[in-house]
Amino acid sequence: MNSSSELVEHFFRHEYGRLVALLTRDLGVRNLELAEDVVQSAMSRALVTWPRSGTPSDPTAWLFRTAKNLAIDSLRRQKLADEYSEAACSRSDDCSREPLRLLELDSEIGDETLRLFFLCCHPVIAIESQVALALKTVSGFGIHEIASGLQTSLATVEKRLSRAKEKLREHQLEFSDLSPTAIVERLPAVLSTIYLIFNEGYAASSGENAIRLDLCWEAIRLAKMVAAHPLCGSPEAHAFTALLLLHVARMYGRIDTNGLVVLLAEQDRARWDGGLIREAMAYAERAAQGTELSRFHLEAAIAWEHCRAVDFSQTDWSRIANLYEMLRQRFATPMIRLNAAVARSYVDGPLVGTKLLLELDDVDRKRIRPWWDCCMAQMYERLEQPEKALSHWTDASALAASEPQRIFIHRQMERLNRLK
Amino acid sequence: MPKYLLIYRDAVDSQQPQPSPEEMQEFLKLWDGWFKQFEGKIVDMGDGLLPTGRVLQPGGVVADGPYVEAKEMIGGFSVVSAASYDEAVEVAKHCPIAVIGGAIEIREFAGYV
Repeated sequence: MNSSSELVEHFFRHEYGRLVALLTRDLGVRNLELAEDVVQSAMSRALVTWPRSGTPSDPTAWLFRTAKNLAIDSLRRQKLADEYSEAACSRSDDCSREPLRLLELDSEIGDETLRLFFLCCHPVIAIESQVALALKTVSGFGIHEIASGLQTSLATVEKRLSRAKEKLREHQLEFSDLSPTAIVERLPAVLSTIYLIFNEGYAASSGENAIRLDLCWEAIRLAKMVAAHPLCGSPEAHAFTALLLLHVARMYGRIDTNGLVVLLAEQDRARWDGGLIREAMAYAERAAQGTELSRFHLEAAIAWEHCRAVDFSQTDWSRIANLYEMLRQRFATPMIRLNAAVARSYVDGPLVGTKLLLELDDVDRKRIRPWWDCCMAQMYERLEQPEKALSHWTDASALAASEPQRIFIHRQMERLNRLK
Repeated sequence: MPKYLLIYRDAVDSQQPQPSPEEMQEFLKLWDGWFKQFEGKIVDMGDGLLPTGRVLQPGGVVADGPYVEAKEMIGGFSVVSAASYDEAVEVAKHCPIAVIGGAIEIREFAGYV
């Protein structure tokens, strides 16, 4: 008897998305909910059957067959028995090839999952609903896992999901709407959605919430899936994947065991993951093909400069400052301008840094506080003006968004007070 | 050796969301582990029961739905062999249903047959 403990990690979660995608292709997007229900039921059935009769040699095929039969039963009850076969037959290949298609499952499903994901990222759906829908259908997260990962309530997640599904119905969206051109056009939106999923996880402090780290890994899985696809595996998609890998490689260095942020200068670089950095470099190589220089190319190049430096003092700040300048010229978001100012200050000194930070107006500052205040405080510390530094740390403290942030800022204030 | 029926009782009015695929995989692992741990004692892993049913009442009246007296419903069963109730309870304690917080009723076979 095979043992289910031999199933790869996250097997059910990942298969969920693949199976829902495959059934949705056959049944039409209008039956997305039915596809989800029958995959859920097939998995429930596996729970009872597999421990008794052994895990089937091809668990995916077992789940697919079971889910498909459940779907046919359900449609038959709705007196729509022909719908499945009609829908399935109307596709290019005919039903008689069914056994063959099962064999091809591995090579074929990848594409269907991606189509389902691109569908979730349709511009008529609000981005937070896109995230919820993608996590539910493509990534196989439960609604309580999504709520916990996004730090919101069950009711909110349910609302976002029902709104997303409403839009799918209202606009009668189908897989077949995704022409090659449409796929390429939607790529930026798709990458933004993945980035949002990643950042939700990345913002978590270590150990606080395992499900949030799962979001990071899920975002990377989705990014790799996009990058591997012949249509959308553009240099930009490769740069994006490299960037996520470079972020996650350093994740365990940036938070200490108490969940507090560790400043870049003080991070133990031995805790950065060399394997992931190497994997990122393979993606970066593919990203370098072609002439495109996307935002993600620049961000990945900056992340790579940090990874490349043996320690903080070896950082090539002039290269980093130049990359930030290129980024700032293209996308002058307040956060990028803040980072650009900090990088520049390590080349031209903290006085220049302060000047650049002060160029951000009140509206911009508001969007990036308390980071703006923390950076100002550090500039004044380097200028040996502890009073001004302390006053900015105090402002930052009042604006801290989380307990770890507040503790971090207070430690900086205590340290400064001791120095005085 | 006496046999015992383990009756799995699920809460009926549970507001719990459906288990996620990740949780289901964990659950599958628990069942496998339970089966291995008590291989000689589990006579029949039993089966799950679907939530719908019929109730045949005295006088031949047939009603829809399972007979829900308490706020729980029988969701499945297994059969174990054990020397005593204590031993049967010990097996039940490690059963995944108990591990995830479900209730299990344990009844000894009368042995009439």
